[in-house]
Amino acid sequence: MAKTEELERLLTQVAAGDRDAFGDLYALTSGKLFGVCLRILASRPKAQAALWSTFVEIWQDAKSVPTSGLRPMTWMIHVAHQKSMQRLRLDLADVSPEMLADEAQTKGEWPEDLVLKPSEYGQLIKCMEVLPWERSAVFRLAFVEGETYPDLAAHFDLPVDTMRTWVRQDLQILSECLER
Amino acid sequence: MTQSEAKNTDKILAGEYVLGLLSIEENTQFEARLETEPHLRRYCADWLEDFVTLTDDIGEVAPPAGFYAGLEKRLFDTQQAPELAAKSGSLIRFVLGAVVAMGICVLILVAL
Repeated sequence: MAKTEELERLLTQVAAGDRDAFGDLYALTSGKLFGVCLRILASRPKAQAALWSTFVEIWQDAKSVPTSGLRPMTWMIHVAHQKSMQRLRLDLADVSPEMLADEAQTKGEWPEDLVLKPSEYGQLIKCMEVLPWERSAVFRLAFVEGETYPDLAAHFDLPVDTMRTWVRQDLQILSECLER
Repeated sequence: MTQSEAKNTDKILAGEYVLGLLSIEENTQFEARLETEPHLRRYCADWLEDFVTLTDDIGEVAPPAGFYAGLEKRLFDTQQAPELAAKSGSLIRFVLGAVVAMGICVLILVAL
């Protein structure tokens, strides 16, 4: 079962160049990370390209996890999120044939407790409840769907500047609610 | 701007960065600041630990079967292979060149 401690151990081994540990880490996390890439990019070839860059970075940059101040899964989702957002922004279409090789789906087995539980880390959700529904949806659309300020403005039929003001005000409310 | 106002502005900016809402230019500027300002890294880590919970309901999707093999090949096999191939290629050319040169010398000596 992949608990935070196990992912920490694997990432430490990966940072030391352990290829077997990298394989184990891939087996435990690639499904979740691919899910995140797919949600943002809504395209299998692009999501595969983002996942590819994600694991290249995990291999090359695992040593930075301890100083990032993030839990292992948060760090990996952050990398997948950044790679997906970069691809979304730049709309790169240079997917190599090897990334597209073998489109066949395989269903892996996934430990149930790998995904972070909302019940344990649900403070943000609670704080978002104080916002009007459509304003709390903005955070999900931005973070999970990769919408930019112009996308959000179009989505809510508002000027971009108003959208920006909403987000900044609501980040302030959330920050206070989260007691930072 | 007072110190606490600046701190607040940075917190909000860090939130916008984590949400992916900054423009490419703003993003580059912010990442340059991240390199030298540890308090910004702390704000980003805090926001990330919160916003990452929004991905909780995203289910796992298995990548294609050949994906990991391709990744392994790219990361582990090809890191040194092209360099070695280039080196061995130049070695072969050097040896062949030397053999040909020696052959020419022998022919010249025989002709003399």
